[in-house]
Amino acid sequence: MLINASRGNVVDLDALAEALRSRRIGGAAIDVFPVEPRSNNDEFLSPLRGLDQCILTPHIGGSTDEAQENIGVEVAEKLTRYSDNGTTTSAVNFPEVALPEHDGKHRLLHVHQNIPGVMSAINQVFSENNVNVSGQYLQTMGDTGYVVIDIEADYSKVLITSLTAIEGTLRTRVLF
Amino acid sequence: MKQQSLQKSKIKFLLLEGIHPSAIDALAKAGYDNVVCCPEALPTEELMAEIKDAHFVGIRSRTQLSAKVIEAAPRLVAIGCFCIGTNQVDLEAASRNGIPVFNAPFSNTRSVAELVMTEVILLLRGVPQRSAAAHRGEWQKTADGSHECRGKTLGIIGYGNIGMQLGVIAEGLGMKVIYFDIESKLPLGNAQPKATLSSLLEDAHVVSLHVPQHAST
Repeated sequence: MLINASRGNVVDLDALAEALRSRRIGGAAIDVFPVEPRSNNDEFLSPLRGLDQCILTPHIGGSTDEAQENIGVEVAEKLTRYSDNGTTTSAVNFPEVALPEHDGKHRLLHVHQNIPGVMSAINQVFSENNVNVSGQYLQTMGDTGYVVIDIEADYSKVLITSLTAIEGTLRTRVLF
Repeated sequence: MKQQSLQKSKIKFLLLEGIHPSAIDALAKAGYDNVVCCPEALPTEELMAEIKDAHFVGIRSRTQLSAKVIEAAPRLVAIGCFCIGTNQVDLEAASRNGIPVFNAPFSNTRSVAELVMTEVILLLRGVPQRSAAAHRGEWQKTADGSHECRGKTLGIIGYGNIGMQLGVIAEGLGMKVIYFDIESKLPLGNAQPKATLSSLLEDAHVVSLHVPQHAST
């Protein structure tokens, strides 16, 4: 018996159809396929159609009301955590940074192109403005860099304007 | 009241495609109540108009967030895919614009494991073929080739969140659980790791796959 409710490309369905016909495999349940219909109005095509000992389901392994409810909470919490705190843990396209609380401090978030010179330009802004950095968290992924800087001073417009002006800056945000 | 960098009521969340109300509750709990909900996916023009002043957007699988749409959202801070896959988002355009994308890779764990467990039983009892035959008017009453799952061996390939959850359920029904994973994983319950894929295939009565899509799988 073979069950696949993971990814469509990990089973050779022609080989499976043959193994079911020759009874080398007693039965199968397949929920995911290399090519799936784009919508519920399109026809489902598969070498497994017509084999009675094979359960075919339309990629519904995770499709329940309970899973939808869990998804609502899981993603909403990831968004509010990023909004409140800057943490990007488990982002799919972005440097992952897990951050502590920043009570009583101002936190500057700086997203930039991952090119040489950006970090030294950022640090220069702080030293020129005589601002003491109490924590700094940097991570890069591909072409993107993400640095979070906690400062003890109150955030000033001058500081954020200078940071935003650095070449390669994509986004800046302040949290307090 | 504590002074904040940006008032939470000014932070706009745009939730499309009838995202579950649990999301709105979770946002409210964190103090965010400026939430615009839409039961459907929006056509590109309408989407671009709505997303223009949004700070966060939540979608499911039908909304296409192309580079064009992302670039039409100057205030966008992050994107939430309230689903597993993220193919509907131009991830590169999002990173290029400094926007992280989040999804929910683990929320469906239990749902998948439960479905697989029922299929183990249905297959061991030959239910699919007998049901299909009955629909055609054939009566296949026989005990031949039908087995209880109790005492049989379930082989789990890929012992991640779903594989582990399935193992726990299967043991509850009296199955012996073995697994193979490319990383060494601590077993839950009495599950036993197998050193090689072929030794798992030799010992298992039923094999279930829980692997990611990857060149090696």
